[in-house]
Formats: sequence, C-alpha cells, structure tokens
Amino acid sequence: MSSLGELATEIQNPGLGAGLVWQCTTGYQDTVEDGHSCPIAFLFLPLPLILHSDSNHIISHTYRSSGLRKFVSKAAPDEILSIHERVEAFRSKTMRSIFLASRAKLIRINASKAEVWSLRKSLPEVPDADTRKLLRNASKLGAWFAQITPHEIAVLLGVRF
Amino acid sequence: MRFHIEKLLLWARSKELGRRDLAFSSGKVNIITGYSKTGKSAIIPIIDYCLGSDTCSIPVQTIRDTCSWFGILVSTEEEQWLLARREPGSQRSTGDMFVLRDPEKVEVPKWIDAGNTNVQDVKRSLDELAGLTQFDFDFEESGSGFRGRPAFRDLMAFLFQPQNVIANPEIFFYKTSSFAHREKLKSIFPYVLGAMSAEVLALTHEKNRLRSELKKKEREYRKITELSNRWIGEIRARYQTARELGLVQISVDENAQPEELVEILRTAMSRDLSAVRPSIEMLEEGVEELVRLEREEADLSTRVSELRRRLGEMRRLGESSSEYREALTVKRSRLALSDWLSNRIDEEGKCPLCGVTDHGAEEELHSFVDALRVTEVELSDFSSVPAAFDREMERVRGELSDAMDALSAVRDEREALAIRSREVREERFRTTSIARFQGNVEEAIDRFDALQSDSELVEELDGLRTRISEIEVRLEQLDPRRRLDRMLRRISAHASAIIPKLDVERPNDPIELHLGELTVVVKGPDRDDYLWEVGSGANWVAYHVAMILALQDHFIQQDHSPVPSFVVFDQPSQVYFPQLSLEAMKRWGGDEPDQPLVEPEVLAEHDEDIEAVRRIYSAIAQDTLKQNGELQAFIFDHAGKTTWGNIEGVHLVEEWREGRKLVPEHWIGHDQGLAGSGHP
Repeated sequence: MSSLGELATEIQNPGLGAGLVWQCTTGYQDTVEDGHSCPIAFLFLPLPLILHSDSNHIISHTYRSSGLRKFVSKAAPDEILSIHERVEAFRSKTMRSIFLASRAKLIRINASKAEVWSLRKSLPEVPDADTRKLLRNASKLGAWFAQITPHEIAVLLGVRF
Repeated sequence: MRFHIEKLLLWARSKELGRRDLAFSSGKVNIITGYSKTGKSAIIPIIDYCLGSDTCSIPVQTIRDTCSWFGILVSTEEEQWLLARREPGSQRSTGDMFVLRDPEKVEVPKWIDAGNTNVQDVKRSLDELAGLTQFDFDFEESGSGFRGRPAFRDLMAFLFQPQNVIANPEIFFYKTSSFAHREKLKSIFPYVLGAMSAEVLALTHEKNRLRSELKKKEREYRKITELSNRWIGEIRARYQTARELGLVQISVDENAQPEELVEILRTAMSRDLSAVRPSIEMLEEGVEELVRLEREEADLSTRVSELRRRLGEMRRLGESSSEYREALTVKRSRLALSDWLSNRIDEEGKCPLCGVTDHGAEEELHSFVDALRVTEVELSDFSSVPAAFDREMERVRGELSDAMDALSAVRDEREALAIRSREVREERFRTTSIARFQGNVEEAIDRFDALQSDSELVEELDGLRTRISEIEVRLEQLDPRRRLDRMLRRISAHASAIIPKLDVERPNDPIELHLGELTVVVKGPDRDDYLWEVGSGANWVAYHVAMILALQDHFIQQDHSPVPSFVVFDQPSQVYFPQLSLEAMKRWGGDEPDQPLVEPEVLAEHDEDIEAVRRIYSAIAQDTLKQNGELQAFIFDHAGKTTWGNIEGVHLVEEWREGRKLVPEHWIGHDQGLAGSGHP
C-alpha cells in the first residue's frame, strides 16, 4: 500500500472515485439477473469501503462468488459498525465522483428513477496495479449488491439509508 | 752523533781509469786550498748527494762528465759506511745507490757496475742511524708537511756552509732559502737541540688529541643536558594524559621526581592493552542489528497506531450505544441522502449531478430527489443494528497491548544497541589514543634511559680531564720551554766567546740564535740587531762561523744527538779576497818557490785582511781541538799556507794548483767520445 501522503491524494482524487462508482455500476449490471439498473444509493458504498484499508483488504480476500455475507462475517463487528459513519463522511466526495463519472460518460443517470447505467465496459490500460485492484474491488462490490436484496445489503452493512 | 768522512771517492767513466780517493782526517780541520774552478766548491754538493739529496747540485761538465759514481766513506761509532751514488747523466738526479757497511773496514770496490740500493732506503737507514723520532710535530693534525717528522736530510743545515751561505746576511742555514726547508727546520729545531725529547713529543700529541676529544664530548654532554631539561617538562604533561586515558590511577605529586613518574609510566605501558580492543566484526554486527531493529520498530509503530485507532472507534461506538448496552445494539439514524442533496441544491444553487448553476432543470432535480427518497425507504427500514463487539474490543485491546510491549522492547533494544555502538566507537577511539600515547611514552622513556647513561659520559669527561692534567703536570716537569731557553743561552754563550777572536765590529756584543727568524741576533747595549741589520761581510762571516761552531759544540755535548759531527766551511775568505789576480793568488799561495812566501808589498796591502782570515782559521781550529777528536771540520778556500800554515789543529788535504784538481787531469778528455753518455 502506498504511503499516507499518496493515499490522501488518491482519496482526494475524484478521478479515482469516479472510477470506483463506475466500476461498481458495471459489476452490478453484469451480475443482476433481470437487467435493471443500479440504484444510485448503492454508489455511496464503494468509496467508504474501498478507500479504507481494513475493509478493502477483506474485500480483496473474499471471492466474488462468496458474496457480501462472507465479507461481513470476515469483518470485525466494530468495523461494520463504523461503515455507517464513513458513508456519511464520504457523502460529498461520492457525489462529486458520481458527477464526474457522468460527465466522463462512464455512467448515465436516470433522474426519474434515481438509477445509474454503466456506459462502458472497460477503461484503457491503468498502469498502477494498486489502482487496478481498487477498481476490481469496486466491481466485486457491485456484483455482491446484485446478488442479494437491497434490504439485506442495508442490514448486513448496518447502513440505514 | 759521531759521523766523520774518511774519504771522498770518485769513480771514472771507464774502468781502466779506476777510482780517485780524497782522504780526510778526523778531529782536525781538513783544508783544501786551491785556485778557482779546481772543484773545491763541488765537494759539498758531492757529500750532500751521497747523503741522499733530492737533486744533484754537483756542477756539470768537467766533474759530472768524467765521473760515473760519487761516494763517501763514513765512519760512525759502530761501523764504516760506503755511500756511493751514480752520476745522473742527463737526468737531474738518480736514485741508484751503492752502499756497503762493515763494523771494521769496508772494502771499497775499484769499480761499481750497478747499484745495490736506492736513495729512499738509504735515507731511511740514515734516519735510523741518527735515531730520529717517528713522531711528527703536527699536534693540531693539520696535515702540514712542515710539521712532519724530523729527517736526516733536515740536519744538513748544521753541516754545510757553502760559499753562498757562509757570508750571507739573509740566509744563515744551508738550504733555508727554500720556504719548505725553513719551516721544517723551525719546527724541529727544539727537538734537534734536544730540548724536546721524544717523550715530550708523545705527550704533546696525546694532550692535543685528548683536548679535541674532550671538546667533542663536552658538546655532546651539553646537547643531552638541553634535551633532558626539555624532556622533564614534557614528562609531567604525559603523565597527566596517561591519567586521562585511565592508564594510571595515581595523581601527580607536585614534587614528584621525573624518575618516579617514569617508573610509573613504564609499568603502565607494560600492561597488555590488546584485550581491551574490540574487533571490527563486533562493530559491523552492531550496525546490522541496529538497522533491523529500526525497521522492526517502524512496523510495530504503524501497527500500534492502527490498533489505537480501531480501539478509539470502538470506544466511540460503545459510547453511542450506552443506552442499549444490555441489548448490545446501536441506534441508527438515517443517512437521508435525499435530504442532504436537497439541501445542497438549495444552498449551493448548483446541480449536484452536473455541477452547473442554474441550468433551469429544477424540475428534474426535484423529481430526482423524490425518486431517491422512495428508494431509501425501500432500502432499509430498520432503526438499530447489533453491536456485539465486546469480545472484539478485548481482542483488539490485547493486541494493542502486545504490540506496544513489543514496540517498547524493540525500542529498548535499539537504544541499548545504539549506546553500545557509541561505547564501542568511543572505546576504539580510546584504544587508538592509548596506542599512540603508548608509542610516545615508550620513545620518551627510551630517551630518559639514554639520559641516565650520560653518567657514562660524565665519567668519560672526568677521565679525559684527569689524563690531560696528568700530562700537563709531566710536561711541566719536563719543561721543554725552559730546557730550550737554557740550551740556547749556552749556545749563545759559546758563540759569543768565539766572537772576540774574529774580525767583528762589536766583539763585545754577545750574539744569540733567533729561532723564529733562523738567524743570529747581535745584542747591543741599546738595541738588538738581526744579522742583516748589521753591516759588513766580515761580520756576517764571523757570526756564521761562530754560531755554527757553537751549535756543533752543543750537539757533541748531547748524549744522543742526531746531528753528524762534521762541519764544512767553503770560502770563508771571500769577503776579504773576492777577486784575486792569479798573480796575487800564486804569491799568496806560495806557488813561486823561489819567491818569498809573501811579498812584503802584498802583505802590506792586505795585512789586516790576511790577519782576519787567519783568525777565522784559528778560531775553527781551536774549537775543533777542544772537541777532542769528536768534531771534524773542513775548510775549502783560496788561502794558502802562509795564512794558516802554523795554526795548530789544521791538516792540509791537498793543494789544487797547477793542474791539480778534484778530478785527475788524465781523466779529462780521456773518454772524449763517451763524455756525457751517462753510462760506463
């Protein structure tokens, strides 16, 4: 993992955020069975989960097929409890990321339904391996969201929208 | 020493002409009288040549052309010697000599074919015969040739008074026209007189040698003393350093003697310091270990911060769930993103979706927010979440504690290692300092020991000084200065007694020998005059004759004088009769048998002069007789029998007039063709 300073820059980097929300959308889209779009509320989850070393670490070490439940069982209870606060903290940044992703034509926002649609499957080559990992994790998250009911997501992650 | 010339010998060029002998008598005045150019003045050079002169001064032509060898037959105390030397021919001289020695009588050969020795060997033999010392007079060892050892050759000065010396006011002694001979004679004079014995010479040499050695050693001693004083100042400082380095424990006493300090230092230096010295390996290991520990510390530090943060978050959660502690749940309030967005739109006036201000799509925005609100309800309708993380919190707390302990331990270890490395570095520095100091002190101790051995030097100095004063005492006893003065006074007295008998202006003024100028000083009532300050040839001859006779008298009185006991005067009458007409000479010499021996007129003319000459002969004869046969004198002159005929002690050897000469008449012209060939 890169140093604290670099991490701060990455967190501040809206581009990364945009990439994360887009990948989450893409993951969701690819996994969901009935082909409906990703609720915009879910996009407030990738940044607080991935831009946090502990939870990101667990995401990396949980198979896509294992699902969100597996992730939660691995995480410490206090970690789960802190997700809600982190979501709150990342609100603005997430909003900006969504906006950027939209402007970059990575996603399209369906305002009337408050849903998001991914416009692109893949980005040109990202040189940094760490960043690639983060984006992959975002995609994994999206897939996990698509596997279970919205209510279960909320309960499992202890987040009350 | 007894050394008389019995014969003068000449060998002709050709064998059939054989040998010519000229026999002399001892204990008398041997007179050869004759015209000029008869060879009278060749006799001194011949004798000198046979006694080993460097060059041959025998007049060329007649004499040298007719002779092949020259020789003298000498009798000494013990034996007879034949000393013959080859005529040099076209060379300046030759070293070819023929010598025979016999305790009784030497058989003089009729003919000499070849030499049997050389002049160097002969000179050496003569030196031995005279018993001359091997010591030189070069006390300061300047290497000056004038201070060399006395040689037989140097003594010729006392034997010969040739015609150019006998009446010479400037030159008193034979061969002293040469600067080298003059200086040599001056050096050896006291010795020759017998005032300076061989013992005195030896002691004087030793004294001078010891003096220069003493000076050298005194210089050495002074230098060492200087060093010593400086060093004593240093030693205290060194001792202090030794204390600082921990090599000695005892503190410096103000009045401690250098010797004490040295001994303590010496002991300190002998301690084995190698055990104290840490190895290079130890140092390198220390550095590696240190780096490892630092890395470990950094990792642990990070872990501790993370755990602390988690614990902090847990505590916060714990606080918020305090009301529900029994149920172990946390109340959750809604994120309400929709409300938040709505507020954002109202406050900032920007579209949260596209960021553009006031693009006139409020409708759409509001419908978006509504749609979002709907999903929020669907997403989650619970209000509390389970908060069972106590066990986790304990676990984390435990982990944090462990991590902090580990961190602490690593920090301690690192600290300890750092200290140890610093100590190691300091120790290394200290050891090299010690090593350097050790070197310095050992050197200083060596110097100190060397200074102690200067007591040897002091002993040497004392020894030298003692010996020198011993020598000085002995020399004072021997007192060559006093002896010399005494001898000179006696000689002067003897000479002064002869003077009144001769024709001098001031017969009552005594004369003295002046060694510095090698001349005679006439001591008047008001002033003293050197010989050359006194005028008149008559004076000069008189003073020459008187002093030479006085010297010979002195030599004969000595027990072991090296000087041969003969003296030759050549032409003492020259000042009176420098030029005589053949006529007058004939008459004076009594050649005309039918004429009276001396014509009255001639007598009347030269009355005083003849008388003067007679007085010279008389004085010489008297002195010779006084010596009771020890002295042998020679006079070669014009003066005829009339002058000296009835003086007691004279002996006429030959008269060389009317064809009689040194060289037999029949020899001349005999070997016309062979003359000048140089070889028989």
